[in-house]
Formats: sequence, C-alpha cells, structure tokens
Amino acid sequence: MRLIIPIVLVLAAGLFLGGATAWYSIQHAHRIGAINIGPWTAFPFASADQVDPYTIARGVAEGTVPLGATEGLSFEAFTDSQGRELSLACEYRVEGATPPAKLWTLVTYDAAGRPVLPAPGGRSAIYSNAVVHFPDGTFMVDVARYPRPGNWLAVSGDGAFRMVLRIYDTPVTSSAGSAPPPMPRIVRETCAS
Amino acid sequence: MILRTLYFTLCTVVIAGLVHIAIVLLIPSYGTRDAYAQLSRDFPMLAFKAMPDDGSQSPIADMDPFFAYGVCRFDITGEGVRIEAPRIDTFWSATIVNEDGTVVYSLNNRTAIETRLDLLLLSPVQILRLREVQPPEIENSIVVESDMKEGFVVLRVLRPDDSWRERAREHIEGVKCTAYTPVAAPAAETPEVPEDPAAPSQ
Repeated sequence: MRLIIPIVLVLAAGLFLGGATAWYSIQHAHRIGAINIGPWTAFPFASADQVDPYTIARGVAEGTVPLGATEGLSFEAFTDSQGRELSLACEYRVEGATPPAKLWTLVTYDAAGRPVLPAPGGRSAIYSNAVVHFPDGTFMVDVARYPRPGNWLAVSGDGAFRMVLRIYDTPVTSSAGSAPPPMPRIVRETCAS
Repeated sequence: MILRTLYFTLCTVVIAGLVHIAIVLLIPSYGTRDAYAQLSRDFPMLAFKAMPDDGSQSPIADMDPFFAYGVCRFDITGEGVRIEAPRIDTFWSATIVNEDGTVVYSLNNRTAIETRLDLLLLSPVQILRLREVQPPEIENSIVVESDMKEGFVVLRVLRPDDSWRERAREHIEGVKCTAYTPVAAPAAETPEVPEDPAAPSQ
C-alpha cells in the first residue's frame, strides 16, 4: 500500500515531463535540419524523402503544407537582425538581397497565423516584381503603418508578428548546404510609445 | 532511502522518454489539425476545388496571398489519379502531399512538359500495368510512382494583383482530377471480324 503513492507520483511526473519535452521539441523544431541566416529560418528538408519526425509533427500540429523542393523555399523571421522580437508597434526596414529566384513574396502574419491587416491604402504583403530594386539588384522595403515613398508594406494592429519570405523556383533548394545564400537584413526603426 | 529515490527518479526519466517518443511519432497518425484532416472535412475525393480566398477559414495554414490555391484529394490504392490543367502564362507550382503531410513530388511551370500541368500518380503495381499497355494518351504526362495511399495535390497559381484574380480562378476551375487506370488502346492490327448474323447459315 505504501508503494502506491510513489508509483502514482512517478507515473504523473513521467507523463508530464514526456509531454512537456515533446511539446517543446516540436515547437522548437527550428534547430533540427533548419538553415538559419540572420533572423531567417528555413526548412529545406521539410520536403525531402527523409524528414525528421519533429519537423513532420510540427507541420501536422500547425496545419501547414511545405513548399516542395521544385516549388521553392520559405524563410520565416520572428525577430529583427539584432534578435529583438518583431512587434507591430515598431517600424522596420527590410534591406539587402534575396537568394536567386524567379520571384519572391514577403508576407506578414500576426500571432494567430492570419495575414496582418493592411493599413488603409496598402497591402501587408509585397511581391518581387512590384518592388523597386536598386541598380545592383538589392532592394529596400519599409514595413510601416503610414505610407512611405518607395516600397511600402502596410501593416496595422499591434502585438507580435512574423515575416515570411518565400522564394519560388530557386536553385537554393538543390544546393542547400554549400554556401549560405544572401538574405535581407531586418532593421528596427522607431517604435511607438 | 537514497537508493529508493534514485530508483524512482530513474523510473520517471524512462517513462518520460517513452511518452516523449510516443507523442512525437504518433502525432502524424492521430493529429486532427493537420492539413489533410482539415481538407477531408470540406473537400470530396477526386474533385478539384479552389481554396477559399479570405484565408480565415482556409484548411491550409500560412497561405501566400499572392497565389490562388486549388486542391484535389485522392486515394491511389485502387486506381491511379491523373491531374490535368489547361495552359496558363503565369508562374504556377504543384505539390503532391501524402496524408502525413510529407511532400512526395513537386514541380513548377518550368519543369513541366510544355509548361502544362499533366501529372499521373500511380502505385508500383499500376506502373507495371502502365509499362505493359503503354497507352498513347499519356505521352506528355509526367508519371510519378509512389507507394502512398491517400493524399492530396496542391496547385498554386501566381496572381500578382487583383486583375489576375479572375484568370487564376478560372484556371483552377478548369483543372481535372480523375481516377486513371491504364487501358490498352484497341488493337488495330488484328481486328476480330464478327460473324454476320444476316449471312445464311449452311
């Protein structure tokens, strides 16, 4: 009879620890098989034959469909280039170059996974052919609430958000691991309040 | 007493490890929020359907707003499936995903034959049958062999701005997703001449 209490305790603690570590590893599957370039993270192998079970479980839990290797690659950023969490209270400048690709899109999503509501007169996403590039092929996009000259990604609301840069029809997926492709920097500018 | 505590701690760690492994490995089979489970609710088998645009109740998370999406669910255990789309000038890409959410095959307009989506997905047994009969109508199809059972195909069509919305939608509505079984073409060399019932019998 004395033994029942420790057994129950051991079982409860085991279940709790197992569940917690599983949940944690799935949420942070970033670190397994991912490529990290500055604040950007991509899973080039999420579409390969041999995907690790954590990445599969993460896709199942989030309900996402990965881009196939021939389709492209999607990069996610939750922080700016200095590692501070992206917030809709701040303005950001995304500048630099993307990996070689036929086209790319930059989309902002809120914490609930929906596209960020655009500010009046703009769109909360931008497409490469609509972006004005500098002569050397780099570009600069302002993520802000109020209209900006040049490339403006119009956001509204508040709270945390993330940026997703999807590059379509790119050679990066077949040469992942050779050399890190160029990715734009995310520079935080002024913050409200 | 110390030994006893150590023993119980060890038991806890072992149980935690087993639970951890079980959860991670069982999520693909028992998850209910995954794309395939969500699709199964509103998308019938072998019908190519456009995905709702507003994104709020979309069965697939994280959709790209610059793309129109179409989906067809299928099961290739019995018959194969053929996905055929009309030609379109804009960029498109397609992915075959199995029910666990793993990509089986993907292509885009540049890697397709004549920039047109014409995909044939067959199980290994059906592939053998295909080699036997070599039907002429699939000459321009990309043939993919897979031992998957159920799954779906996602077609993404680029629509850079609102003026493309209608075209992309029409394109997706024109996609055919049908069951396919390789059937030999009617042999022309040795036509069987049926007996003429009107001929007088002798």
